[in-house]
Amino acid sequence: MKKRIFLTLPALCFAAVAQAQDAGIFQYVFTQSYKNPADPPGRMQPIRAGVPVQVQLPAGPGVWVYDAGESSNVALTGEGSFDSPDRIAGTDTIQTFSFAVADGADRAKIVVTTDNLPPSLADIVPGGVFDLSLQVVSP
Amino acid sequence: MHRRELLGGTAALVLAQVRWAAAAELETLQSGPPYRALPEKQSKHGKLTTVLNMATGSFDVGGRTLRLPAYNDTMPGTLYRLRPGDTLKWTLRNNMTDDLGLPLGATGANEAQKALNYTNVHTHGLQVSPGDGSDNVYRVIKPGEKHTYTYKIPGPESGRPQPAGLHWYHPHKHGSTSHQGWQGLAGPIVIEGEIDRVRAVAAARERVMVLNEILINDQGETPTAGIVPTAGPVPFTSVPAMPMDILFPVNGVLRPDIDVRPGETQRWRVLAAGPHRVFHLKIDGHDMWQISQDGIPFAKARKVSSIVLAPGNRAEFIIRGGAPGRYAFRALAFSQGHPGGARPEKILGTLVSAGEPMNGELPGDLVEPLTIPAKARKVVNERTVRFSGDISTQPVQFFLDGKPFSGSRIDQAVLVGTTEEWTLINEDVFRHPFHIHVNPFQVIEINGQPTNDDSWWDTFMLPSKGSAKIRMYFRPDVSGLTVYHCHILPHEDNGMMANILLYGADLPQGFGPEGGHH
Repeated sequence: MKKRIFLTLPALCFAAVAQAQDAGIFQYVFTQSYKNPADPPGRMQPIRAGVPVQVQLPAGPGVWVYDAGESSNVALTGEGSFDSPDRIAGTDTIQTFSFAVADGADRAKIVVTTDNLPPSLADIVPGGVFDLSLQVVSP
Repeated sequence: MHRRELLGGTAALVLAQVRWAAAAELETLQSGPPYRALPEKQSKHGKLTTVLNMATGSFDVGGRTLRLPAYNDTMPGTLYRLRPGDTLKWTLRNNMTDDLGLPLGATGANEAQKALNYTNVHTHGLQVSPGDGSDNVYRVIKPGEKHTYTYKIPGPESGRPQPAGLHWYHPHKHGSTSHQGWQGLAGPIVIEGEIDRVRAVAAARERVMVLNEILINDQGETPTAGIVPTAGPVPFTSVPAMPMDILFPVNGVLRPDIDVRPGETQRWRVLAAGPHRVFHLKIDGHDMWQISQDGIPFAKARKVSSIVLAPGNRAEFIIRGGAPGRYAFRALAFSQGHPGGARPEKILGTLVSAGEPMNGELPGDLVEPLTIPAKARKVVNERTVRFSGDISTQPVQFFLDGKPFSGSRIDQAVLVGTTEEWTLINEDVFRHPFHIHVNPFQVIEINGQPTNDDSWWDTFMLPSKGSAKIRMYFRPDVSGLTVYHCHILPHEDNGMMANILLYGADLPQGFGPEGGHH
């Protein structure tokens, strides 16, 4: 039996968050680890339509910038960062970019770039260009 | 301008964590599902013979349907109770299938994905032979195959009986250990003994709790793919990427209500069976009287307000029910070196105190503590092991002494019946938990400072960019080849493991201690 409690507005907000926690935080997350120099150019990652996408990249002092001109069929919905010192040489932060894929699109592309790439990432993200090609599959 | 300053991302993260914690607070006010005791089997006349059948099951966890392999259709596995001197014999049958957790668009499992269903089983904490037919972690059991293990648990006649306490079993096939850990494949083993006869311990109601850490995709299946670390609420993603969540059930139940009567004492035996998460355990409004660490009893109960369990650790403690009410059983936020800062706080369950009051007795003196035999107290050898890693790549790479694991190399050779001191140097920011098979150890220094602690461990979490010195006595009656490794299982699978040869008078030719022994 549920215990009766008096819910204030903040509590209702938290209840919604709790419900969301139970429902999971399902999104596609891509990091620099997704890039493999041995992969063929234009490698496509299939994703389900309607599921958010997030890109996480090591940063600080370098800064990654979303390249809207080179990207397609995605809308940037948010940016953020996490302190993350001493994990990857030459970086102290993880920078995040959140995206929604356009309704009805069967392809999408995300490009983020930096002009201050640490040597530790030179072979993983050549030229400081992180590009991601997505194939959108109906759920 | 730095991007962080522009976006205030850290502040946003803190706010988000506050919201999660507040949401969790509210959850403790609401009733949860009832606590579940695990099915169990007990040895009879010195023997326990059984089957461990690994096959896909369907489990309702927190309102979600998960499809995961399990031992004998229960997640986590059956509790087995034995005594020192008993023989445990089980046949492991690998009936796992390769249709779970495949990436979107995959038409079937490739060879690497199929290999994630190769398995074996390790009896973590049991001081038994690592040889074939016993606790041999080099054995590979593929789907459709079976293997029978027989473990002779040291009894009084050995002069050094298996300590009485909570131990456990889980897969240990290098390369698939973490995948099967994410699937919740683990179960408890309780060795009974003298501590169970201590009055205050015997009178306490026993609860054996397995804390799992289940990684699932949006289909409710553990991803059959490479796993790489991320920041944020879900600490991993896969390659190819899948949407993921991570769940922390207690005995397979998400945030259960655990009942206690006011003043009643209960003996909680808690196992951190997750592959990655460090559980910093706290029960609101309740102290804990810890009686055991890693299945080895203390001489005297220790009153603490919280207990840290790294993956693989166990703790046993007595609690006494407080005034009627609901109290959160928490895994506090903990910074274990994972990218993106501390792992967030989780509510694991709720202690619900209600009913007729009792006046349970708290423990004091317990049992004679485990010690190194007087004739072997001289430290005959010292070694150093260095922990390091690189998470910029896929797969991530972790090393012991600069080398990834190789099954065709002997990294250490130790004469059994002797005592050694090892200095474990962590060059990494990750707090790697060091685990060694067969023999437990005492931690005598942390970052060069004496611990003055006589606890025994089989898994100890190293300080970030620091060191620990441990003292190990290698029991004389167990020899063979086995391993030591980081018990963050993705680290182990990605290289942070090494081989140790325990040898006696029958030293195979060509083997010997690197530093020599005296």
